[in-house]
Amino acid sequence: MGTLTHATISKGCRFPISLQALGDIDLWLEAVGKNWDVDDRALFRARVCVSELAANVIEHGRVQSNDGTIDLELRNKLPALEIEISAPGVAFDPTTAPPIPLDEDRIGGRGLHLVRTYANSLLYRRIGQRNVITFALTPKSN
Amino acid sequence: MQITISDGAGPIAKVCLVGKIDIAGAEVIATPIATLAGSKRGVIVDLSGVTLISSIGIRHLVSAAKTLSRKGGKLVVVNPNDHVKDVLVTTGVDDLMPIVANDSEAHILID
Repeated sequence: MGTLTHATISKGCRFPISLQALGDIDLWLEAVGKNWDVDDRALFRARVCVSELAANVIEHGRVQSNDGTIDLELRNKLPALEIEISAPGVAFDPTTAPPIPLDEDRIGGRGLHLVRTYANSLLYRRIGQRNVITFALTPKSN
Repeated sequence: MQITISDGAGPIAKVCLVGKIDIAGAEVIATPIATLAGSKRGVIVDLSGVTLISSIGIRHLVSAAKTLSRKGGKLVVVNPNDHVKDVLVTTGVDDLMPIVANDSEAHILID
């Protein structure tokens, strides 16, 4: 009889493109993470990354509220937490965007640095008019 | 985001922040922090009640810290939780905004 060594549970949600939704996204992510008993540090870092990426959609995506939704999917890949966030907007690849020096007080520099530092793996795809970003956090990452 | 300001007649003010410094939270703190930075020699920012901080929130704190630094003053961060502290250290802002455990240590740095 085999032993189950890997289980994946996923949960997804769609959010409108609005400032109000950024708060709802964080509340949802925190609730799911706690329900799954995700490591505190991994969950916090996931919330920071999602907050930065979602804010980027609103600040720089050049999208309106009727352009679509910010879609989030969480995957419990024990012990890792994998997150996929997709949203419409101008193409933005966080894996290749040039870094902005942290001592320059320009929009985007620190947020991108946080995502790149905290995310174990960062994958970008452009699907139609949407940016799809997938990353993982593990309890002992970085 | 809730902000409480203790601003007496002296050159140092204290700001207590509770909640999330996300985009919405950053809007709450932006003007008060900037105003204090313009009028005081030191600003103590108590982050013990902050549960999440984003780069836009950091941007406002850094802007205030730079304003204070230009006139020989300082912004000091007090008692963030380990996760929030890690964000500040990871983004390299702890050089400009020292992180200490309590108000007494903050005053020592400012005075």
